[in-house]
Amino acid sequence: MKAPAGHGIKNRRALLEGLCFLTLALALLWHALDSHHRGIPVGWELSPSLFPLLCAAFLLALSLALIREGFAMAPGEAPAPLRWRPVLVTALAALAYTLLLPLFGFVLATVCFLIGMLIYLGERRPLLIILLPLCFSAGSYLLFARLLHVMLPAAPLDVLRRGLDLLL
Amino acid sequence: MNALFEVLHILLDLRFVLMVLLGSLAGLMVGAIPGLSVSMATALLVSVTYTWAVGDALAMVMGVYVVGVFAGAISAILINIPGAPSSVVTTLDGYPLARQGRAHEALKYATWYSFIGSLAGILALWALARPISAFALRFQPMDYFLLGLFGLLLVGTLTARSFVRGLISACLGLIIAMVGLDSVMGTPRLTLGIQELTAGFAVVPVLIGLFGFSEVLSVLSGQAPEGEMARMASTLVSTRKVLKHWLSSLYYALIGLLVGALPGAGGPVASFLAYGAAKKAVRQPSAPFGEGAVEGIVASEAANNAVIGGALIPTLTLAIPGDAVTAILLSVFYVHGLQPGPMFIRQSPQLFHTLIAAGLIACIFLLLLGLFIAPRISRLIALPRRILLPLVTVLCVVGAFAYNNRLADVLIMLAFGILGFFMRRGGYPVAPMTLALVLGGMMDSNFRRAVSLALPEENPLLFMLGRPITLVLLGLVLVVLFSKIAGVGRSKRRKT
Repeated sequence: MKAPAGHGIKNRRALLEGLCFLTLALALLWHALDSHHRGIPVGWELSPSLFPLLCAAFLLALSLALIREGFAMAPGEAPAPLRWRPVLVTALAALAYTLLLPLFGFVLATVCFLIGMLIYLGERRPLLIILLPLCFSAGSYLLFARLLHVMLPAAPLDVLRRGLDLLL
Repeated sequence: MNALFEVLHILLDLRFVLMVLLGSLAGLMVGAIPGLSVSMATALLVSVTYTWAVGDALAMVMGVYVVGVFAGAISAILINIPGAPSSVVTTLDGYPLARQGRAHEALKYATWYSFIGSLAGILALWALARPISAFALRFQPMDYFLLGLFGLLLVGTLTARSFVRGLISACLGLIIAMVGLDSVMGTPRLTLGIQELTAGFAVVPVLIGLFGFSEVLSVLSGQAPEGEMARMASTLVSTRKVLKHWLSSLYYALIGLLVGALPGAGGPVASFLAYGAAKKAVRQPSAPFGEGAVEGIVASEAANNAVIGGALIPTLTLAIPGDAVTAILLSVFYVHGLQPGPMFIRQSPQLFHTLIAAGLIACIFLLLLGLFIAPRISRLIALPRRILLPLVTVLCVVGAFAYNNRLADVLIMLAFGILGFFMRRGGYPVAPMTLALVLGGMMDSNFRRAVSLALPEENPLLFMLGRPITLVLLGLVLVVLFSKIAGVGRSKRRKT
């Protein structure tokens, strides 16, 4: 992360972050001024844009401090090496799980998600891979839908849920 | 006297006691298992309890809160990984003691002094909340704004290594809190024309994302090994010997109480300060500090549990949360249509007593669960992450969905989880953002009210800032701000 000697930049990460926040602050500033002039004609003291304007000014000052840090201070302790793949896979799997919920229903979607994640994260015991998702999905369905009256997503494919309903 | 009878009456309600027990059991699990946090559990609970009676919801949340803070010490002692940030200091002496085959003894010390700390905190809350509420009635809109700002500055400075990054996190939280309909004029604000954003971001899915899903991603991204379990030998130690330090523990509890009452400071700061105080005060510890001194466990646990009562004082009397969990607890009140603040105890004394009763019962469950169950759940703590993390992800999804039965809330939770992950990774703490999310609306409306009240006056600035309370609060804000700016300047000079 170190810049070439004589470049003047001591902490590239701080500088980049500072520039991002500066852009955000300027956009918010513009948005606050613009919506004040286009919105309901009231004084600044009652304007919905007053507080966003204050926050924009505050963020602007902080982003400038971060940019200054980029030029003035060497980076501190480097962050620990990041394992990108499990983060990306888990985030995408959680997104897919969310999108599958209305299609498959809670129990089936949860079983699929848990089996997939357990295998991906390195679990190799077949009995556990099958039993844990089944028990956990059924248990959480009973807890949330039955006891706590949460309306969990139902779907035509939710055969397990209907089976449980029939049983209970 | 009436208050005492009311609390006693609630204490005898079996259903209420059962709700606290359920919360306490949940708190024991989430506190003890590294990767699960009390904040995460409380945020999940808000989403499932919002249709319940407020008393039941408070009973369960208080059970989770009180026992969850203590339970962090179990994994700190047994596997050297604190279950909660406030138990970091407990690892310093708890784990060395466990390695010597005295894990049972270390747990007994942690249990008793967590009990004393929690009890002292809750009793102080009971005694002090009323006079502080009476005093807070004198607060004007500008005072509330400054108090909120003071809390954000404090939490920004205490939770981040970098002052600027802590404040940026708070600032982003304020911006997110402003999305939706403006509370004064009723016009859409920062919605970018997106219809779905008119109602703003629901706080609960955002909190579950920031504390729950981001924690899952952070654990997965790291290389940290699974903790090595200390052997649970059944070395018995008498309760009389354990309670030898009760007097000094009250001093540490006082430190915890004061730190807890400061908006944003919380358990980690309290336990570090108390540990430092113990090192100075105890001339002949049972073992050198850091090598298994029981005095270290006493200081850390008494202080971090007393923070609970301390943090609840500004939450209930001023609607300014003392830490992340009380910020979430505040949303329990909001989703039930209640408004904590100076009038809260006067208008809803029964709810205040319900909270006190729940805290007291939770203290008793803390003692019972800590003495009889904690030594037996070591296998559960060692649950591998490859099993634990997918289960937590499912709970996050269900919790976010349960809040409003909308898949959009789950997507918001996931988005904020990813945001929280990158923030943690980049050194931006999520606690200031949480506090800002909860306080944003209050700060906005009070600031505008203060300005509009002052403008017709002859000297608006004097009208706004001239009162003694306002001046004191303004002074506090400036002291925090300038002391940190001076500190940043000094550290820059050292580095260059």
